Amino acid sequence: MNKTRKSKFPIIFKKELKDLMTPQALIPIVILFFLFYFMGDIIGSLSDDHTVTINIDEPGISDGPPAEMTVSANSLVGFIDEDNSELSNYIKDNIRNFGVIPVFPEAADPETAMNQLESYDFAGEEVKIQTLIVIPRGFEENLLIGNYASVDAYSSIDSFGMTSMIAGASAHTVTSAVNNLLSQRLYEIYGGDPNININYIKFPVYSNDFTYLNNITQNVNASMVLGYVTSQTVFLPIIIFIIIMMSTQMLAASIVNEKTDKTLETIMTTPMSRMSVLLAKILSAAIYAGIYAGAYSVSYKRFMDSLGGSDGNYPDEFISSLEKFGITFDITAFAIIGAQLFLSVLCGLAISMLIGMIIEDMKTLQAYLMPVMFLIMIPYLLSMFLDINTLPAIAKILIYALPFTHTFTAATNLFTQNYTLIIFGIIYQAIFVGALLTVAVKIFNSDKLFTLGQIMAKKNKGRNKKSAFANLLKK
Amino acid sequence: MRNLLEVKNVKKLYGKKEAVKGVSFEVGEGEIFALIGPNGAGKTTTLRMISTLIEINGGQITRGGVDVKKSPEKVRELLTYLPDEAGAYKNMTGISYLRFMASLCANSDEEAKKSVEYAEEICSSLGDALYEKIKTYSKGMMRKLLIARAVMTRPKLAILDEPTSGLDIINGLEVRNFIKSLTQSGMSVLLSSHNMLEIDYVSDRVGIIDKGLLYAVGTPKELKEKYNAANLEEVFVQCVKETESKTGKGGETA
Ligand SMILES: Nc1ncnc2c1ncn2[C@@H]1O[C@H](COP(=O)(O)OP(=O)(O)O)[C@@H](O)[C@H]1O
Ligand SMILES: [Mg+2]
Repeated sequence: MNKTRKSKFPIIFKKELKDLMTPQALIPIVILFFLFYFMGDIIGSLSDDHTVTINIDEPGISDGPPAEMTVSANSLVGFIDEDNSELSNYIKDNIRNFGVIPVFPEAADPETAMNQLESYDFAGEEVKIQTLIVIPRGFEENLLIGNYASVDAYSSIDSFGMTSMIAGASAHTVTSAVNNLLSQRLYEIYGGDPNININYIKFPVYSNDFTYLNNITQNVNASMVLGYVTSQTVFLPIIIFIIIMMSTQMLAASIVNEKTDKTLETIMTTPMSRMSVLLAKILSAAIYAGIYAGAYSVSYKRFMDSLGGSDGNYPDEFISSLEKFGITFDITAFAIIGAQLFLSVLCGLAISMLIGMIIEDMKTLQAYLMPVMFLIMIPYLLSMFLDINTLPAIAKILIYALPFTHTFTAATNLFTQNYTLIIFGIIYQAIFVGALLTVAVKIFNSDKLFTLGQIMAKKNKGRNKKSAFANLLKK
Repeated sequence: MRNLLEVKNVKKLYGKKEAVKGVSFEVGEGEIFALIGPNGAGKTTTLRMISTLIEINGGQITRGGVDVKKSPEKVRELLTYLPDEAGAYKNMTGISYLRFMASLCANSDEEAKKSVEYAEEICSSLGDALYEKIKTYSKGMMRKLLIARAVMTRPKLAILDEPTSGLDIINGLEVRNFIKSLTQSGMSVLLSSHNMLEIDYVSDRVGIIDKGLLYAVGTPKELKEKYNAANLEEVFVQCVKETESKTGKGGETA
């Protein structure tokens, strides 16, 4: 008995796999594969003539703001004045005129100062300040002998949502404000001197950009870092979305099809265990999703390599800074995102299986799959447009209660070294999948597989005063 | 004649609704037993319980005095089940479907091969269509394929739910003749039909079922004599009337 039961599994498993590997199912994989495989080259060639040139030509806004005003945290900027000269003090005293409110962290070392600024007590309120300007020793000396001078501009990146772009631009704003201030001042000093370079008068100061991320600083421009991360992750959510949706729809459709054709009943009256039937279905759907994810990973990796690899458009030093930040897609990142994607797929499969069991026909199936689609779409859209970790606690909890969210935020959490959330996410997803699968297996092994659908259909039809939902609750 | 299985006072509840309210009959070895009754009588429910698809909520089904509930997988080795209005995997060819089902049921390649050969014999009227995709099949072709599938393993009992429903006269006749011929090889057939007239010729014994109750069991001849009726349809009308006036039970709506 036992021996025969075991030997059945490959047979039905093969059938299930074949069922899924139809041309309709494989075409999207192939398209996707080639899309990403070559998209890297295309975008790479586009971004060649998209190089950033430092060009500061904003006119000075010399009308000072009113003495009292509410300021957004973005206008708070930390200053460390190593020069402590007349000109550096002139900057600190007058930069308010350009909408920049200077604050002065206690630490003299920029990295420690950035750390302090992350939660800075400003007029009794804790604010997060993401920009720090360090005026180096010799600043004034340089300027007064007619040399260009530099300031060190530190920008912190704490998230990779769209809002973080604004913070990234802030250092640039401050530098141009400094230039405007000094431009006026130097004009007063050198005004009529015909030997003086007009460019020097206009832009005497350039910034030496640093990025502060994951508690370390690197000598790279924050906008460039954000741009790099965005270019690498912008397609990630849509791929995750497609993979989960595809596998979910396919399994549900496969179960409902088998029910309408009564092939499920037929198979279940053969001397074969129901668990084999179920396992074959889940496993083949998971393998399908796995192939999908694999094809995506390979092509996507290639896509990213062509953007940021050694032969890409980014200089090696830039890439090595990113590696120090821990924001490159290395094997660990792939493994973690892959694992969370797999868990999300399993979750989708378990849900679709439950739906497939209570649904009798394809039309109803579509209606029931819609809410599931939204469950996947909500974290998808949210993770694209904002950093969920920066939301208020309640919103955060609600969104993270959706098991799919953890996959969509995997990359961001990895890049911000939010390992607790990643581990919690994996555990939560695993528990969720386990619970759903247990329920699905219970139903599959019972009468309900054949009776639940009709009971639901009847309840929906009859007694339209009381909703089917109310009836279910009553049970 | 020995009994292949005994159905004893079997009941089925769907939620609160009692779809089958205590049905008892036996199927003998090599016998064709037909459950006849209108739509919604409880035929499919009864057949599903016997084929172990759904649980029994009362009574029992025994084989040689042993409750079959204890080893459903063993029971399934003895029987095959053809669901009402069944289909098959549309992207398979007829022959690959037969092969697939044969290998699911058989214990060895040899056995599977034999089953497929027998099925091919049964389906000979399909000709080359057997090698075409099932989605191209007509209803008659599909039914022949599925019946061949149901009997190819030469089960002790073939359970066929409405095997002739929806077929034209020719196809219906062909199927009935084929079912009739099965008992020569010792197979038992338990079938159902809402068409009471066509069942007369096919079945050795019939059970008349309505509203979850079995009203009468016997050979068509016995029943027609007992109720002084010209055909099984009249028998049905007579015994529903009789039971209702006696017990008032049949009139109850579920
Ligand atoms: N899955 C189910 N859930 C609820 N009620 C059902 C289900 N299947 C059948 N019924 C009800 O049980 C009764 C018997 O149905 P069935 O056995 O299919 O009848 P038949 O096959 O004789 O037409 C009918 O009233 C039907 O509506
Ligand atoms: Mg029926």
